[in-house]
Amino acid sequence: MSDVLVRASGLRVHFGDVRAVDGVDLEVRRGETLGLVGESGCGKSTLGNALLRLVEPSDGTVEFDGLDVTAAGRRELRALRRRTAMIFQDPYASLDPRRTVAESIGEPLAIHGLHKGRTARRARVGELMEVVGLNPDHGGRYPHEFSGGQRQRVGIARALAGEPEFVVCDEPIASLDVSVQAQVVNLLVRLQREFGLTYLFVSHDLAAVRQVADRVAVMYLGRVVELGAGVSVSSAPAHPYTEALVSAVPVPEPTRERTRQRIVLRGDVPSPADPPSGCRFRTRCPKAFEPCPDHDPVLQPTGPEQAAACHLHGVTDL
Amino acid sequence: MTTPLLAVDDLHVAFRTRRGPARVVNGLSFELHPGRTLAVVGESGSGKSVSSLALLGLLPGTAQVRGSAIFDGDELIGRSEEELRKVRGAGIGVVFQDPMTSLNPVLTIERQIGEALRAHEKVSDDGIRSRAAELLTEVGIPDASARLRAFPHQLSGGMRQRVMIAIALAGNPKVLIADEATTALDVTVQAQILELIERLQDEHGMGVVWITHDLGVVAGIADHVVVMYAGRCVEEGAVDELFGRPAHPYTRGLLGALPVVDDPRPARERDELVTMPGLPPDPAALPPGCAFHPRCPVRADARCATEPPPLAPVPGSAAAHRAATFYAVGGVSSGE
Ligand SMILES: Nc1ncnc2c1ncn2[C@@H]1O[C@H](COP(=O)(O)OP(=O)(O)OP(=O)(O)O)[C@@H](O)[C@H]1O
Ligand SMILES: Nc1ncnc2c1ncn2[C@@H]1O[C@H](COP(=O)(O)OP(=O)(O)O)[C@@H](O)[C@H]1O
Ligand code: SF4
Ligand code: SF4
Ligand SMILES: [Mg+2]
Ligand SMILES: [Mg+2]
Repeated sequence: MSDVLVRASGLRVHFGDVRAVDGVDLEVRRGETLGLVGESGCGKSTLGNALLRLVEPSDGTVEFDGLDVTAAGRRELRALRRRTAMIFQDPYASLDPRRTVAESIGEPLAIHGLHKGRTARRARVGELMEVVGLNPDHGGRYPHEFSGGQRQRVGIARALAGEPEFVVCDEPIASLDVSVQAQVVNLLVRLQREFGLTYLFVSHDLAAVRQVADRVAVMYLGRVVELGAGVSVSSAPAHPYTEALVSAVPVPEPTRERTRQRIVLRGDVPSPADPPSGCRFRTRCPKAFEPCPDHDPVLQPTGPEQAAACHLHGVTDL
Repeated sequence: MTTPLLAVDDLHVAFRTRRGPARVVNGLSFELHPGRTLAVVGESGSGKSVSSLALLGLLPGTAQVRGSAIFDGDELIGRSEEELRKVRGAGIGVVFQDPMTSLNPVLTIERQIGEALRAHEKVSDDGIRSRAAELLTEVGIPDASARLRAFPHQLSGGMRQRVMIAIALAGNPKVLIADEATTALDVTVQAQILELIERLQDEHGMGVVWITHDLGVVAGIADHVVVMYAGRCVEEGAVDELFGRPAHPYTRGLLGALPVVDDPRPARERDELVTMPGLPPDPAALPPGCAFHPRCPVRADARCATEPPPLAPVPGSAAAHRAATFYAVGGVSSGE
């Protein structure tokens, strides 16, 4: 059994001119949590969706457990659907308001023909609700009768129903209150350890990502610009964009936060329909130098378990 | 100490609802001094926005407002809409979370800044244009004269927020209220806006009320912090004091729930985050006694469930550090 569960190679997803994902090579290892961070619009959700084949790639391939997902037929795709799942940012929008939460949680069971029969299904739904910390007696209630944090638990129970191996968590705590975020983060971590899940954890909150992710991938304008162990990426970033990103995360300690050196980037993110030539970050990079406008840097090793796409580590070209 | 620019005293706001009165703000007091930043922190629903809207007279008719808010010598509570509109423009500038909903989508940036300028000075059209361009430059928007012709949707989120700040600055306000002004922005853009606000505050000496749920941002910009829970200030103090020696179990819970970005341990070796069970109360059904008691891990006293703890000095701390709890810190109950 290979230790890679999901592999993207040369992956591109374009929407017309918009190059949402534009040449990504990435591996998600079995049993790990890979964090995915980057600014709004850089292509995180699109990449997550493409790994589950919820959007069609324009180019490149995605393999799941050795199977080429991009070439999978209906049958294989159905198996893929059961072995993968998604947890969304907005639990309200992702649940059908007219269905009881038990119905929502039980739906994947029906789709995948698991736990057949009403009694078996009801028992399984109750079990799932308990696993995520909901009272199974509340299965007959509707989404609006729950708080945001509880709705996210419903979304998690639903995602777990098919006993998936790989779960894409797309901003799962972004819409929750601070004290509730901690509850959901702990739950996700506990579930992963208990069921041996593999996560792609998409978030713009680097502190939360550091709490859950073994490795972290940093995206900028459709590309992965840095990849490495969580500790290395946040304490010794190898890419100037990661450096700026890490330095912009406020730390809740007044003395440090006031004296800390913040790298404030100038200008806006360029349009993904018209990325700059050479290195895409060069228009805002405080360290840009002579090769940057002409050469498109390749992700190259910068240390053990760390790689960055930046000419400071040796000039390369795609 | 100087006289405060803004002094809020025992502010109460209740909304009439079908289920009876929703008591959203329950005796909030604070003072803001020139050139200083007061942070108001709390989770969603704790009454942060309603408090600031009450000062600005922007609440709907179902709201009943009591208490006092003295701005630059004048009482704001109970004033007519007309008078408050003047105050808003010239004395108090406001920036809200979502610039897309506060900007008019069908008007150019020039028109919108122009309206704000006209609201409190008589200026010619040419005067307006150059003043608007000046403001845009001041908030760090390059190529200002071209941007004046743009519509909101043609700008990035960060630029729209800068436009909102430019509009808030149009009347040279003495106080800037920023309600979750960077919450919808990426951290890199947030860093730009924080830098901008700090610079403007240095240049204009404004007092800033920074409303947020983000304790990291607070740590960096605040002089004084007010922690809100269920419409009350449950703890306040100088920023170092409050983060260094939090006294209220809720403040401690909030700080403990935060993951630490530069904790050197890998994720697998970390402890679980500290959590508070449960949820903030429904303002239409506030629990008796201390509003935090159903979630409080301490419940230090028999009175917790029956008697609201007064906001009292934290023993052994600087005078301005106060907490509303019966929890004994340093051996003495601060509620005595
Ligand atoms: N269905 C679509 N049609 C057209 N453009 C799209 C579509 N989906 C995404 N995009 C564009 O692709 C780019 C990447 O979007 P994506 O949603 O993946 O970003 P993201 O990193 O998840 O951002 P956020 O942090 O805001 O969620 C953006 O420019 C977005 O506008
Ligand atoms: N017009 C209104 N009518 C009734 N309740 C309201 C109204 N506006 C706000 N509230 C309630 O007041 C409470 C505090 O809201 P708000 O001040 O917006 O909280 P926040 O601290 O998140 O800014 C919430 O429970 C909210 O539902
Ligand atoms: S390649 Fe050049 S522009 Fe790109 S990140 Fe490295 S130094 Fe900056
Ligand atoms: S008053 Fe009692 S219940 Fe309230 S915070 Fe203090 S110890 Fe907890
Ligand atoms: Mg997204
Ligand atoms: Mg608010």
